[in-house]
Formats: sequence, structure tokens, C-alpha cells
Amino acid sequence: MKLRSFLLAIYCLLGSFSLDAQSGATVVQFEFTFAGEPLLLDKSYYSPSLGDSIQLETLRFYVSDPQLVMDNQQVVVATEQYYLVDAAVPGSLAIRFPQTVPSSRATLQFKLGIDSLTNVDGAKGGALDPINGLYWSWQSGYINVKIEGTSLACPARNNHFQFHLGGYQAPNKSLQQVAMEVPATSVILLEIDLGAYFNQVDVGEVHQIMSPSQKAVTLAQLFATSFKRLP
Amino acid sequence: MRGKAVIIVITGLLGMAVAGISSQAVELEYPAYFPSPVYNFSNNPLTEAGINLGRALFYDPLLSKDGTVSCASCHSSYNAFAHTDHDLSHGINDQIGTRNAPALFNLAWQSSFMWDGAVNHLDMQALAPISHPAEMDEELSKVIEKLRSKLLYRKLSYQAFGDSLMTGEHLLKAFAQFQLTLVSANAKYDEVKKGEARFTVQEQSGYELFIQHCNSCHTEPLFSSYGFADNGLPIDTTLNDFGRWMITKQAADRMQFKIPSLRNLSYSYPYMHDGRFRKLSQVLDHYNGGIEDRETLAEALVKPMMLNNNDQADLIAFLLTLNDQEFVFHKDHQYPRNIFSESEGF
Repeated sequence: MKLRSFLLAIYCLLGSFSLDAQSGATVVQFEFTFAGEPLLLDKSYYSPSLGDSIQLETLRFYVSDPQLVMDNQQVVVATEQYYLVDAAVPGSLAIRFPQTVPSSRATLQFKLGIDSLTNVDGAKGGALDPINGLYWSWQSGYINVKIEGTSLACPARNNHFQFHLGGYQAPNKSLQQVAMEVPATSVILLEIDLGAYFNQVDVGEVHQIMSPSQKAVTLAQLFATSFKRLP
Repeated sequence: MRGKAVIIVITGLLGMAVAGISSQAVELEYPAYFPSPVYNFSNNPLTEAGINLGRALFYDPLLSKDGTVSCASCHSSYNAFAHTDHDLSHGINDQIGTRNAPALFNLAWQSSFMWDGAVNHLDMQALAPISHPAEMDEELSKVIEKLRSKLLYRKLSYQAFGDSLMTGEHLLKAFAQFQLTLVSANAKYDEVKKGEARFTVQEQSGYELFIQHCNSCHTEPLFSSYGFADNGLPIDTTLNDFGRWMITKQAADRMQFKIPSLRNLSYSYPYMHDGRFRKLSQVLDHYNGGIEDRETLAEALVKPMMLNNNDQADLIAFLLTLNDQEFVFHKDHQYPRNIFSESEGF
């Protein structure tokens, strides 16, 4: 509460400035790429580290509590608390903030996945509705990141790999924090380079992750480091 | 003006007919000596309409892939919502599962579900049997699609949640609402608790033995702590079920199974997670001399009970006072003929 009233005081002091700022909006746009090219699902890409081609067919993840933290510590929260980002759904690739970044720069931060309290709080709707397929039915918990595809380098049935990265309980908490500096601009482009990701993930070695585990945590950490701001 | 007023009245009446009185909040009733429920009702307040919808869903085989199996197939109201005479659960195409379908009651006091605690909230429980290939083998999205195509469910869903288009959230919350109403608190034990009846001498002696030997895990008045324990059952090598370890992979969770309530035992046999015992006397034999000593064994079971035949008879006499006939034959819990017999359209 103290922090909130402090922030409110700052907000009031900068009243006229913020009012101007409120008229705009900031949009964070996700752009999936593979080795510099825009990523298309089901398209074949060559992965030098695998020494083989790779196709991605599913790429979906949760983003929660997106915030812009300004230089002056003012915090702007996104219009939604939870976003289901799906590479197959163009309309799902943007996060909207109700105002522009008023200072010269700010920190954009969000969680990659769903926090533990929400995981144990029963049925949810909207982006969090289990009907969206990012919820485990046999063992409660959200799947924070789902990546599926095929590669001849993958020895599993039909060369199919499935990464269902979740787990909200210690020691296998897979929720990740992402934070980065962003300039004062109304559109922030975030690149997620799957080529770089699969340079670090060997689908010949790891191909089925369907429950909370250390491997899931590692793959989620790697995925979180794949977010880069495009200038 | 007058025409408008009439229309408003008619619309109002129609609205009432659709919404009925059933959107009114319902308070869960339970005895004063029960602890507070752990279920957070503020996220899912009970309403008559929500309970109705959940009850219809519970009895509807539409949920399963081939339309043959409903929740009630393995959770019969007449058996305290267990599957009497079946050691392991059943599914579509005559498939047999790996665990004994547990009795369902007093769920508002439980925070984890399944024999291994795989499910962390009553709302989420229904997802498991719906999707399990050896149970209903259906995807949630397909269930929702089927429900949306039925006038009956569009109506029930509208009454319960003000939205005729069913969602996953609403389906799960309605399921939870119906199950929350399954309160078993009218056994002879409860009458004694309320001063309305007295134990016989034998039941009283059994009660004292119960407090001494059983109450630490099967804690009254719910007759379970709803925690997990290893009760020393030798492993069934045809199933190789290691309980909670299967979920957590933590050594300490090996052979830990959820402690079931001892209410309604006469209706809910066979017993144990794999339904291996058909009679209460077999259960007592196990606790008296069949326990396999191992590292994970519950501390309360390390010292043998050494109950003689008289003690065992007394203990069983007490356990039978936990049978709640009123619960088992409660009309509100049974197949909702009135809901399903309503015409599809209106």
C-alpha cells in the first residue's frame, strides 16, 4: 500500500505530463524469427547445430503481468493481466499498454507463464480457460510454454518433439521473468529467435517433456532468454 | 406507452422464467462441529442454477467420447458416489483403469484430489476423468462443442452463469458446485455428536479404540485428515502403483496415498486405492498384522495395533455408525429426471 501511495503521489506531481501521456498507447509486438527470417509454422528451416531441418507446428505461451516501469518508478500495467500468445493467431501477438512511455526509457517486464497462486486457485476463464489447451488435465497446472514440431534429428515416433513446459512447485518451477530496457516509443518489437533457441536445444537428445521437471525448467529459461528487442 | 409497458412486463416475465429463482445464492449447510470448508466459495458462489447444471453434467454420458460413460457410471449416488463391487475404475470400450474410484462427499473440505493428489483444486478435478484415455477419453474443447449444440445446456448455462455459450471455466465451476453439495453429515455418529442419539456399549468401546488407533489419520469429524500416508500395503506387482511418488518423483512420497474418509464404508466397498479388500474385516486384518514395514510407513502404524477379536468387532460396530443413509438416498443427488425430461426447446 505504501508503495502504491508513493507512486500515486509521483503520478499526481507529474499530473499534466501523465495526462498527455495517457492519450497514447504502447504496443508490444512479438515477432518470431528463425535465423533472421520471419518464422512460418510448418515451414522447414535448416538448423546448423542439429545438422538437419526442423519444422515448428505449435508455438504458444502465456505472458502474465506485463508492466512498463518508468525511470521515475511509475508503473504502467497492460490492459490485460494474462495473454495467450500463439504464433498461429496473428491477433494474439500484441500486448497493449494504455499509455506511451513518457520518460526517455523504461523497463518492460513480464512473466513467461502463470504464477503459482493462480495455478492453485481453481477454474479461470478467458485466456486461462483450460479449453485453450495449455492446462494439464491429469496433473493440475498450466503449461507455460508449448513448443511442438518435427525434425529428422529427433529419434521419437514420427520425428516429433513436444515440449510442454510447466510446473509451479519447487523444485520444478518453470515460471520465468523477462525484463529489458525499452525506449520511448509507441511500438516495441520483441523478436523471439527460434533458430537461436534450437541452437541450444538438441531435439536429438530431448524430445518429450510433458510434466514438471528440471529439463522443463532449463528449456523455459532458455526460451525466456530468446526475447530480444528489435531497434 | 401502454404497449411498451406490456412488452416490458412480458420481457420481464420471460427473463424470470429463464433465470427463475434459481440464480439465487445457496448456502452450503454443514454441522457446527465441522471445520470451515477449504473451498473458496467467493470465486464460485453456489446457486441453485449452478448446482443444477453441474448435476446434469455429472449424469450425462455426452461427456465421454462415445457417449457411453458418465461420471455417475463410476460414482453412484447409492454407493456414496463410489463404484461398489468394482476394484478398479471403468471407462469407455470396457476399459479398466488402475485405481479404485473413490467415494465423493465432503469435498468442500479437501484441497487435493485423486489417490496421489495430482489435482490441486476441486474445480480442476473433472478434467482428469474426461480426458483420460481409459475413462471418458474426450477433449474438453469437444465436450464444450457438444454442450453448446444442445438447447438444454444453453438454457442451463444461461441460468447458471448468464451466458448461454458454455465455457471451460463454467463447466468446471458447475461441476464443482454440484459436488460441493455432497455433504455427508447425518450418520448415527452425527446424531450422537448433536446429542440426538447415544452409542451402544459396543459402539462406544469401538469409538474409544478408533480414537486410540485410527484418529490420527482418519481424523473426526470428517474421518480423514485428507493428507497422504503409506499404510503399509504390499505392492501389487500387476499395477506397480507407487502413489504420490508417481507425481512428485520425491523419494519421501513413495507409497503415499490420499487418506480416505471412513464415512459410508458399508456403501463404498471395496477398499484401498486398488480396491483389494472387499470386507472391513480384511482391512482390520491388514492393520492388525499385514503391514509391510518400510521407510515410508506412516509413523502411527509402526507399532502394531494388536486388536483382539472383541476389539475388532467393537471397532467395526463403531465404523458402521458412520454410514449416512440420508446422504446415500438423498433425492437431490440422484439422476436429475426433471432436468433431462424437459423439452429441448421452449
